[in-house]
Amino acid sequence: MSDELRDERLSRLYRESDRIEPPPALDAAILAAAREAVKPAPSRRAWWQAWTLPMGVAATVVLTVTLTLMVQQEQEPLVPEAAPAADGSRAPVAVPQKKADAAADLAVKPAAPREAKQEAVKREAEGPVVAPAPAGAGAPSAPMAETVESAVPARPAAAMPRQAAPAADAVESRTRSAPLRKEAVGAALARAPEQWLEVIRQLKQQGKEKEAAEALAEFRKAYPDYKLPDDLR
Amino acid sequence: MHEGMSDEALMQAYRDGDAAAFEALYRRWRSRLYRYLLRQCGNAGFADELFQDIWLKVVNARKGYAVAAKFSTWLFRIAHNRLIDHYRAQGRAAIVSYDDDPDDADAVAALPARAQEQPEVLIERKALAQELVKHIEALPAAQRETFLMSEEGELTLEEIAAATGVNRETAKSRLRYALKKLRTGLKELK
Repeated sequence: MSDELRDERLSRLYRESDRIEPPPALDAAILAAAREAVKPAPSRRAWWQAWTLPMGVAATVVLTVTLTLMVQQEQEPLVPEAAPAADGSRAPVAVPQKKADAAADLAVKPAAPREAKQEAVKREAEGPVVAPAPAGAGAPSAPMAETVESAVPARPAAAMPRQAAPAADAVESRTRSAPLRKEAVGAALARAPEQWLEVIRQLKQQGKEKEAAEALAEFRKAYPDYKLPDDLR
Repeated sequence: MHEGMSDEALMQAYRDGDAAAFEALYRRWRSRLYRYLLRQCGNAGFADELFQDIWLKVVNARKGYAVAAKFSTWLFRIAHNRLIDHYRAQGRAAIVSYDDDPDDADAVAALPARAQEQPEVLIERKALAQELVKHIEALPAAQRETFLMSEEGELTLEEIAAATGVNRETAKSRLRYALKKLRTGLKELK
């Protein structure tokens, strides 16, 4: 109060007048607004956190589609790619020695005896490179593989056509994703159909009918669509 | 918790996020400010609207609040400015004669002769107080405002001058005229 011009009588009388108050509803509205103004706002996420969910979903979708396409491609039959080599118009499928070895190892695991491989290594050191035993032979067929290898003159690895490598790669990759075909793939990697048939023919000529029949069965597994020569039917 | 705190400390606490501090501050000043507005605009509807606007201005201005003056001076300055806007919007130029105080004798003469209209009620003091209010409401706006700031806001002349944007002498002159008219009016009632 301004003491300089204070009039106690007037002031006292004024305070005795109606003490008018603001309506309660007005009080409530103002206090609610005041509380709301200082209410802590929900913490905002960083911009990169806001993108976490959509980016995660997008990555999942891309990964799923990619895997689906890869699986579909890998499930395509192996033979249609290997079969054209049998028509003779193209160079026979040849496999680089290292890859053939790897495929054979994969095919005969775990039953193949080590002796077969050691013998192959030994022969490799002695002379021309020979394709390893047919993978499908497995443990029981290992002796036959030895026979076949000794009977068929193999090309030197360096002389194998260069374009055969991608085919072998494709075959090898399919082998990994389709374990049930390991044997057939091993056989396909091991030799060209003509060579294989020649081996079977020689087995027959040597009177080894049982081994010839087994080898022929393996051949049919590997090349079910291949038209057999009349003398081997 | 907030009982012993000054108005300025409460406002600072509210600025820093203490909603309860605002409530304590509001409780201290709500009635005084409301009466100031009601006496000034003479209409409960307008008073409600102005009252809410002023407090929301306080709420919204909390972040920039600094103790440069008493809280009451700041509050009544906001109220004063809001009233000016209200008067302009209402086209009440004649009422908002802030710059020119009418002649004292003319103002007294212009007071309604309510004493003669209700002689039996004037015996009671309560009725006298109500008549005083009517005289207050009949004061020129600037004088009424100065008187109400002095009574309701308990502001000094310097604070009234700061709140209304005039110098101290003008505020003093307005208050002197207001008191004189009210005294005259009360004498007429007796």
